[in-house]
Amino acid sequence: MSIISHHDTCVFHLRRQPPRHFAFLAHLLLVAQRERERRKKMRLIVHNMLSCNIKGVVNKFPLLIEAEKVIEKEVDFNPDFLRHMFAKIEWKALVDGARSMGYSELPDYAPDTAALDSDESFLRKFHHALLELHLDEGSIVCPETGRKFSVNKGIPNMLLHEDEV
Amino acid sequence: MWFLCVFYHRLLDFRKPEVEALAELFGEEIAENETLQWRLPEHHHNDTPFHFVQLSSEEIAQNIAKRSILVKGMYELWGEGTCYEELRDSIKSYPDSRKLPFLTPGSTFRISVETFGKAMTFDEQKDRIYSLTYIPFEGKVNLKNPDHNFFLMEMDESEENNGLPPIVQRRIFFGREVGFADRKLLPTFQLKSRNYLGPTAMDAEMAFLMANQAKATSGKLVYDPFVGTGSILVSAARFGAMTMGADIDIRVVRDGRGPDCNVWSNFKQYGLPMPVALLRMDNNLPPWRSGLKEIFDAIICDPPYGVRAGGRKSGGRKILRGTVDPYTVPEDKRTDHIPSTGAYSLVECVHDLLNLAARMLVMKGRLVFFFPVLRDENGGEVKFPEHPCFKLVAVSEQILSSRYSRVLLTMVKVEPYSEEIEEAARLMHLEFRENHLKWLEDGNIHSSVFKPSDASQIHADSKTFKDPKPKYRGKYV
Repeated sequence: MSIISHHDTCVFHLRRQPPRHFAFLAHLLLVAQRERERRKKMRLIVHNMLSCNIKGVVNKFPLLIEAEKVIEKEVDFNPDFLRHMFAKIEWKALVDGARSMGYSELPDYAPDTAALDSDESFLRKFHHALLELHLDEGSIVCPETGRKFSVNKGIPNMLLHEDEV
Repeated sequence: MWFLCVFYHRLLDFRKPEVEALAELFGEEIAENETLQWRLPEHHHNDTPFHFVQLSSEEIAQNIAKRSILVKGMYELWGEGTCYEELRDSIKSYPDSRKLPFLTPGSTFRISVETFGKAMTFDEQKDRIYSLTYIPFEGKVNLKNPDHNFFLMEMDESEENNGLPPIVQRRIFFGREVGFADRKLLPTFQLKSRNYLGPTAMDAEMAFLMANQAKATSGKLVYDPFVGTGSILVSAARFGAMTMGADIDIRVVRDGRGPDCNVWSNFKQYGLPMPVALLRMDNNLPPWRSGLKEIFDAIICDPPYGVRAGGRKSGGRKILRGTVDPYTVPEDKRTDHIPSTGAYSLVECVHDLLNLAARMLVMKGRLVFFFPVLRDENGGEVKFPEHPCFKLVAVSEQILSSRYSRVLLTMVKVEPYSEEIEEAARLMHLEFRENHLKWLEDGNIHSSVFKPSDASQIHADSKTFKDPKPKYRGKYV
């Protein structure tokens, strides 16, 4: 929703003060561009599922994150979904991944599943790390071979080269 | 409790499976190895829009109707008959305890007349409504926003039976509406107003049907391994599910047709939450970490079967054929290297899909996908792909031409995944592949779809022969 409201205020300004300066239009374009970029990102939930599948590699998970651009975006909070995911998540990979994206609020060790029901602040942190941190540009790197899988416009490219299959 | 379930007269094969899936979704308890109980009106054919279905509560019936795409409405039947005298007797014998609560003085009501296979003037409709005076209505009429909606449904009485086989006889139903469908979804989501489209974007109605088969709902994670422009995930997201998609073509998932015309923009257009992830990967060599399993609640997809879009997988054409060895990419060219891909046959693709689903679906999770079949003139039994983890629960055919159709298969995961199962699945796949060798020949489906058949050439020669358009078209509808 924040995207729309931001645009709305811009339009409002536009109506009150007709833009005489090119700079103002450029600013509008920039805002639009930035908002557009905010929408597409790789999140840690996916990082937690992926490994390097180059033939013969043994130590393939977790992939290291080299972040060039990290963005935070609010996502609807859905406790049921989080509870379902919690059991499937490799905790250490999530903690390390969140750190390399600049978020270090998660506890080092995964709490008991009971915390999911009793501790809302934990659930919020888990939600933030899993879904709201977005890697927009950067790479995810194989811990063994150093092969970089680029993340471009938020989309990890996991396709292997011919000599890696 | 039996309800009269009236369908739209379209996609006949998809109607009952949709209601069955939704009944499960809304908590109807169905014993293992059993399905919902259905009953046909007297002297009716399976293709009729009128069916009776047994559901445990009115609330479930209402929820099903509200969410369904092909159900027009669910009704509590008060009476039925072949003529109006029979209808009257039938309504009179329906217990007062069921009728009177809806006829009280303080309430408002409306009676609508619906017809099937014929049209009726307003005067005819009014006559029929006024003939119902034997029902003790005490409430006030309110046409805009009544408390209770009553429906009088009548079928064509002529011999012709528009749209149905001749054995079907005229029947009149009177009932109280319990729930009705919201087809407004379809004009909102129709493809012609969608920003980003590809050649195989799934049409909105079918995409919603697929999402219903998959029981997509809030808190569930739905995955599409052949996401393309995201048309299937859009429908799942509309029903509240979290979505995730992958595709081997990076231009489709990453770039689209510009900053406001890509997979993301398709979700934004309808104010839906973005997919939790879009990936570029090869389903033949998936990069999932070892130990990752049972994470998706449903997998919905339309695999590429080489008619309008062909599948691709890693490795060049020549490498896959074994004529050249895989070459080494020079170090300085690695970052921008574009790996080559080769053809990915349907049989292989379906095998990988079943394996992926067996591992990644939660128990009772659903795999919903289209599978093309050549329409065999000899009426031979079609064999569908199988997997030891899955039970096939619904098969719905959509006829696309006189020579091929596609079948929507719904499978439920009933066995946990293990390595032994993977091996068993591989053997099953080999057997399936053996039986489908003719499919493997390059371009077989493609040629059967696009080349004129021998039969049609003969017809073209003798122009005198022309099939009259049949009145009854069954699945073609």
